[in-house]
Amino acid sequence: MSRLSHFFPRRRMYDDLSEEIRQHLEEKVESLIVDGLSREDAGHQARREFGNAALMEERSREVWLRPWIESLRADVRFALRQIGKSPGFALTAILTLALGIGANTGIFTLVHALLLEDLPVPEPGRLTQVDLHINSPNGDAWDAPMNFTFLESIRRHATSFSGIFGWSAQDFALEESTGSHLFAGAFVTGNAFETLGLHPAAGRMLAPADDQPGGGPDGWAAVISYRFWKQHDNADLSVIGSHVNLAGHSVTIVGVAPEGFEGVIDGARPDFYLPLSFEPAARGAESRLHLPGGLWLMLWGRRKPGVSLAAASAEMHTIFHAVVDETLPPQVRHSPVVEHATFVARPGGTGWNDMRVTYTRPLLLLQILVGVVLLVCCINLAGLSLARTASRQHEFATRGALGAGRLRLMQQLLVESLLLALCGGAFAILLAWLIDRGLLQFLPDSQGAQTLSVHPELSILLFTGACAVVCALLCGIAPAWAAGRVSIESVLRRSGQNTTGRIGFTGRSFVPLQAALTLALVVIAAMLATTVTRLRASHPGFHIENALLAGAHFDQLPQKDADLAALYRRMTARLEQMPGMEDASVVDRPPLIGFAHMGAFDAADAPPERYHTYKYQINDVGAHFFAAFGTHILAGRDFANDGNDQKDCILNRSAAAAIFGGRPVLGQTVREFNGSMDTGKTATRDCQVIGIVEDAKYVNLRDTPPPTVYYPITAATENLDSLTFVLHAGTLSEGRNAWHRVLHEIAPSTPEAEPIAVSVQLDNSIVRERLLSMLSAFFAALTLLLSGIGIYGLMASSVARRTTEIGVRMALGSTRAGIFILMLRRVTALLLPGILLGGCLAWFAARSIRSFLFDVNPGSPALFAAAIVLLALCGFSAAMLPARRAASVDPMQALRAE
Amino acid sequence: MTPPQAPGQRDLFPGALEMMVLQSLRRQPMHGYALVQHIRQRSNELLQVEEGSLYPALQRLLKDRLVKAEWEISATNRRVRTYRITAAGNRHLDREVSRFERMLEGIHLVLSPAEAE
Repeated sequence: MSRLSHFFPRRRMYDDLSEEIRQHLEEKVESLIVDGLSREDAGHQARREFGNAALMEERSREVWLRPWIESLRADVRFALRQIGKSPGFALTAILTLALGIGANTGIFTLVHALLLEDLPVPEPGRLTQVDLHINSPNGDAWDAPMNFTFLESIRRHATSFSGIFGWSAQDFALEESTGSHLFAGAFVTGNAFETLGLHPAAGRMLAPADDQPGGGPDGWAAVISYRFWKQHDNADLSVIGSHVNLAGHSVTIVGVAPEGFEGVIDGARPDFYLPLSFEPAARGAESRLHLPGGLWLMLWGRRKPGVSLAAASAEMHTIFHAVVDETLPPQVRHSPVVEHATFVARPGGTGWNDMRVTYTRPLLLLQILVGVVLLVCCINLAGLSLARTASRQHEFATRGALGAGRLRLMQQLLVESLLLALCGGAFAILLAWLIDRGLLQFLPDSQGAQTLSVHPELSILLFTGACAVVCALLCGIAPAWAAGRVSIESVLRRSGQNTTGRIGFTGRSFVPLQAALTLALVVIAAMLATTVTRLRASHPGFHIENALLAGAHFDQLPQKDADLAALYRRMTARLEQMPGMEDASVVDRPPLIGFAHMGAFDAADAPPERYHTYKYQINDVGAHFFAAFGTHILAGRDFANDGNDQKDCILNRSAAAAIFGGRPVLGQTVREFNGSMDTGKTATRDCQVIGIVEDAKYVNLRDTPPPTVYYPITAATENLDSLTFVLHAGTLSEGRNAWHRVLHEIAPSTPEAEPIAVSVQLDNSIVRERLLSMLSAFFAALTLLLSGIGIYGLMASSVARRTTEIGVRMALGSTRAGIFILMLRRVTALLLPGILLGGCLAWFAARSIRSFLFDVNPGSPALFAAAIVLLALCGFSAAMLPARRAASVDPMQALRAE
Repeated sequence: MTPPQAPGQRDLFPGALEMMVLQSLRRQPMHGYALVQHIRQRSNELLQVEEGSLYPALQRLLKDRLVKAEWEISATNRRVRTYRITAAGNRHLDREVSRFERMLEGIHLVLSPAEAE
């Protein structure tokens, strides 16, 4: 029998033992009866000779228990009694730890969901994302997806992968009896599921045979998500083989993806997977499948066993030029962008999440902040339990005198703090769940709950447990050390006296340490809060109040091109007639969505340049856009938007200055240079400047407004079927009503989308900053409170300890005010080193978070001063009560107690 | 923590009971009741082992894998847990016995009056 198996079938072993002893007694009784005793006497004698059976059984069992388990059990029992004796302390400790550990678990859950969670596929570690790494001439660098021609060429050259597949998210309109509804979906190459190693929940997955131009054996084949199958089809198997109308084509549903698989792009949660060759059918003229210049298809590979990520990345780097030579036209091949680009392999096991770009650093910052909060919690509790240890010196000395070793005493205290920490940890899990729910609701719909699936998991529980253990050690070590050091003799000699003991240097240094960490947190919170205020107050150049944005989904309308442009004109005109509506217009790129259409411009009469930087933002807008949007027209006029103005354009002030310098602008001709990545040819478009408008922010609130060129909406406008309406009404509800009525009137068959207020869009665009600011403010407030409690605790115990001394001082002529000041001086002595240390900490911390700040000087003296004042106020108000108690000591009473 | 002291060992030194059990089992496998009878008879009733104290000793031997136990049906048609000595038990017994003999010799030398100086 191995030691391990000793441990588990203990129940059986104990049963065997009882049975054996019972049999023994029976046999004994029987043999005594044979010797002539009555059954009753035999029973008595057998038990007498056997000894105490219950005790023997107990002893026999104890053989198997390790001594430390025994002593641990005793410790736990004793610790529970101790905790029960001071429920106030226990409650404070558990609550403090629940808050600290809960905040950490909450943030860790998000970190886990965003950065650590693997895709539900076999061997996710071998999945690799292959990106195009672009180094722009102005120093930026970013990773971009690729396209199908790259994919085909990479497949020919790369040897590191057992399979490479392409993936592109795409929404599909599903024709149902209730109308047309949009569902998330993806185009995937035929080998995608095979490479991922996925097996269907029903039917079959897509195969390379499905990914043929015109469709495979089942026509256009589609795989639906497990979720869609459950919710939409009630998990009905007969849906396999049925036909649906998707994106205007009849499509056969051939299978259901496995449960839990939500695609390789976090949060995209596709319901329909279609072969990539369906793309030309679904997108029609917009198809990009065979264009070599577009960057729209994500490439994923499964590395062959034994091939490292670095080796795969190195291979991708080496084949870059071969692939480019095979796919791109010569002019593009030698453009600066391509010459500075390369392929990279990135770890793909966790899937791709676009929130990762935005939220990785804020989340890590938050994780550090909550770590500091937990540290402050621990310091606070260590201080509290140290004070408790001091008052339990007598107990420790007695136990020491009875033979408890120093380690034994320390173990006892550590068990106590571990128990408290585990209780705190249990509450923390609940709290973390609440925190995460709150945080995800705080995020805009496009992110948050949709994108991050947050659920309890073993690794998160382990994290919580680890937090609790670390806390127990942090809070328990100092008191345990102090308890172990108790000198038995000196304490017992004072036996009978009120031995409250002294709090040593360690105890006194807790408060300054806590104050320092708190100050750093408060400074950081203040800076992040100021950032949000500054961002909101920064003049964006457009209306924020009573303005709405409503996206149009007109891709399924029969009207195209000129007819569609006319439809927009009709709709805006009709909208403007609605009650309460002031101005209505349409725009290609609404503000603050985080991306823009960039272009290169110059004056038509300027000398030709070889390379134009794409620094101008382009937007296509309808008539009255500037009025609806609240952007002032500085000179010239608005677009007429009558279908005959395709040669007009409007510049913002920066664009006018950049293109023409100080020269007159109105009536001049501007030329746009548009180099095609597909063909390598540069197209130009000339237009005449008819107006100049003020600068407005677009991509985000942080950047200075870019130079912008506005084109009118015409039949040739690129995204004509999905423009965004801009509505400026008396009130938001009037705007919403008008939108719904006009949409029903003019385009009743189109999917409805709820308009979003510009103010919400603005808040959404700075949600990262708001989140950081809100959470750091909460954490700072929490640590301020904890510091206050810490100072209160130390002062209160100090007053209790020094009652006699205060009495003597008063007897010798100190006034009450003098005593009060004496106590406050002590607080100052505690706070000052904390403020000095904390100031330094905060100075470095503020510098390291500089990239999160907007319009805030990380060394801002005003913010530092405000934070110090706040901390001092908190410290002094916490000390006020004990100081007043000290000042009200009755000298007679105090001296009599001596 | 010291191992629990069985009252039956009051008059024996620690480990003596285990030694006797092992020695008995070396002769033949036995169950608990038979062991008690055997020890009692072999010692000419000199050693009155408290019967119950046998069981903690047996558990210690089991734990150290010096004996193994199995449920069997005895000759008297009774379900009994029979103990057998293991190879490790045999080795342990030899070591203990020689240690014990040396110790007895030492005690004997100290106690014997003829050797007094």
